[in-house]
Amino acid sequence: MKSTRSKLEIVNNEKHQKLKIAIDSTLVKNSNVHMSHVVVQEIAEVAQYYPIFLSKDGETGRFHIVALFGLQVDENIYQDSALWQECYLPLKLQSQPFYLVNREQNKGPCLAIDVADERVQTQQGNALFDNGKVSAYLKQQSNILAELTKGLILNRTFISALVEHDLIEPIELDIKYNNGEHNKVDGLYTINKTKLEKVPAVNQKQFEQKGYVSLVSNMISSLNHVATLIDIKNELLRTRKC
Amino acid sequence: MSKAIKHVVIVGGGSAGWITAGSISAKHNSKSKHGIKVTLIESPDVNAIGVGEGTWPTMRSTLKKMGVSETDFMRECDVSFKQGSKFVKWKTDKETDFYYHPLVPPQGYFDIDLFKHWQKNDHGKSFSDAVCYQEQLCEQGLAPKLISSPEYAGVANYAYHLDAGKFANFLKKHCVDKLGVHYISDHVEAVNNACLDKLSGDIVSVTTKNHGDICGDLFVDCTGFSALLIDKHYKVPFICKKDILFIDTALAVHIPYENDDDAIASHTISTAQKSGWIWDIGLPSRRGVGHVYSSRHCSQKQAEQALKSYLKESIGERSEQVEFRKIDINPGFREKFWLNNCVAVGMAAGFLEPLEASALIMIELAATTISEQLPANRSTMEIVAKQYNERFSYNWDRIIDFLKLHYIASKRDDSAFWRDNKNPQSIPESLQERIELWRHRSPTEYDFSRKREVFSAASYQYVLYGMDFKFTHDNTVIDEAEQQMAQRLFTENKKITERYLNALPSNRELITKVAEFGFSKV
Repeated sequence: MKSTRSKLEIVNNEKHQKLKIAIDSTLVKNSNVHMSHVVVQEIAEVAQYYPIFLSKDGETGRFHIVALFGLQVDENIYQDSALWQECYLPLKLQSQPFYLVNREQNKGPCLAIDVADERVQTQQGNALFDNGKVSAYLKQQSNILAELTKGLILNRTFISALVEHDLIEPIELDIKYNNGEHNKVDGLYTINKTKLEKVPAVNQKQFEQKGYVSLVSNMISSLNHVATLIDIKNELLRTRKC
Repeated sequence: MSKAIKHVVIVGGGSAGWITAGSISAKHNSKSKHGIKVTLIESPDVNAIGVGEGTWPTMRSTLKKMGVSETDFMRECDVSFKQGSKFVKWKTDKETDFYYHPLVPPQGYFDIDLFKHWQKNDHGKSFSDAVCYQEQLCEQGLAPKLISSPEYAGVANYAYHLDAGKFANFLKKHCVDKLGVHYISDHVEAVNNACLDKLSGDIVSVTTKNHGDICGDLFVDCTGFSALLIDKHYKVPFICKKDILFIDTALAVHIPYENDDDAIASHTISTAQKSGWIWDIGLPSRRGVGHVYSSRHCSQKQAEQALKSYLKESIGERSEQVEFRKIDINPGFREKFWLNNCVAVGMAAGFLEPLEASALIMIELAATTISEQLPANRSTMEIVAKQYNERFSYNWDRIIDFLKLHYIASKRDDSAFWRDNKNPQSIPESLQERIELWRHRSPTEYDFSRKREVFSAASYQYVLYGMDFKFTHDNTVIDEAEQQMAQRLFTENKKITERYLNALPSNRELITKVAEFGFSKV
């Protein structure tokens, strides 16, 4: 969820030695973000706070796992209702404003920073370097990115298994708010539980061993948050906060 | 007691054989031992003609029903998307002259006749452009869907262009591996009759060179022009329609692209010539181009020259080196398609010039009908056969009417070919009558009232109004509500056009992405 005017630079202890990342305690930065990628390692935690869906990448048509923050584009109900600070923040958002980029082939990914991100400055917050050495903060961010990268690979295997057994189905949210407003959300997918039960025993066992069964049940139970989001949105609409 | 139909024997492969095999075996569960057994015998000595590279949107459901993945199909059969046809120089012989027959019907097609509203004020747009967004998508070379669209689902209605040879091989593999079709690669040497019972005349078996006699309950003749069963065995007469559709010869050629990323047209381009027309079909790896003409009106040399000068526009001097494959077209169809326990599908049943891509659709219609109407036993087969023959004679007649319409709606009179085409004696009565009606009102669903018409009134509207067919207004006053509705639909069409122009990728871009990522099923 980079801003459209992002400017990525490979992190360098000379060029970036004075840079600091402001602590965004109110999460203002992502107040207009309506969804975020999530990875399998964090699904159990994410499911406690957000509804989790699958959605397609516009460029490749492949499925991603996403946590939904709002019921329309650019809406973040968690932020609008000041609930967000109490929730777990997906790794993808935690890792900001750092990214991994592949600059040269066969060289592995490099740590990059989005210098256009408004949190990046030289006055306050976490420094990238302490006397030219990588700070504990930067180390931690780079660990988060490593975890995220590993997660995206694990996601792919998990999603392939779902696709292979035809377990993914489209779901359309057809929402009517108390004030009469109508809102249809499409482009979201979820897992068909009945089909999951029909997966042959051999594959069931593999699903169990790989931890897919608990991932799936977490994803399905997370959908209860949609009702909560609608309730909060109704309340926000009533008090005209949005 | 009448004999149950348990075993269908298809003689001949190609698109016809394999589409029939796939449709019947998927519907009748041939891979289970309780299902209908389907055997296909294909001669290793005979090469498929490999014509029919344009489909209709129906191909999507035909393939889906067989359990084919659209991604696999596209990757393996050199497939591109087709969103209709562009007819160039059909109305007049001016270079700038063209019109479209898109696959999406006009806006509000079932509620309102937009033609008269368009005629009153066309806002400088062609009929198809004013009532349908697809012409613009084609003109811009865009795909009908996104990489995130599910298999077989489109943003705009679409069909395919494909490599017929690869397609037959692809279906063969699918039919044998997934659908339980028995495959015998052998030459059929004799067709054997039962002659002692009252159903004498039925085929009991066909004799093969190396596999002996293959018995069956229903035999499907997919042997193309040679028509081994329907013609050589049963001698069912062929009704020639050359007096209506003059085209009888094709010269075909494959043209590779110059660069791997050259644009792929997302429609068939048909360019009228002095004595026929040229098709131009863009596949991912090459174009298929050909000139069909009337040998009565033009010599092969002249036809070759016309094709070369057409090719010169895109490939320059290379056009002088190309060599053409000649194919004879005998336009027409069988007096009967289903006789006794034998039914003919594909070119054994009938064949017309490739205008409006009638070859594959007629195979699909035949395969679907045979599969859905498959008689339970020998005695009900007579009833099914009677209905089938009536339905398919009607279908062939309607296609011929529709193809003929292209020639008579044209304003061209620059050669004998075009002038002769307008001779009333060459126009079927059914078409003459309808045209009389259409001088006063638009073609409507009333004109084509059967459940499964091949061409809808929408297609007739696109062709007629694409070529500025004259229409005299009746004097009825159009009420205001209808006028407002028409305006709303024109505006709506404009909005959708803009939205799709912004959202859809180019045909080449999407096809490249399908090769890399594929579509998902949902």
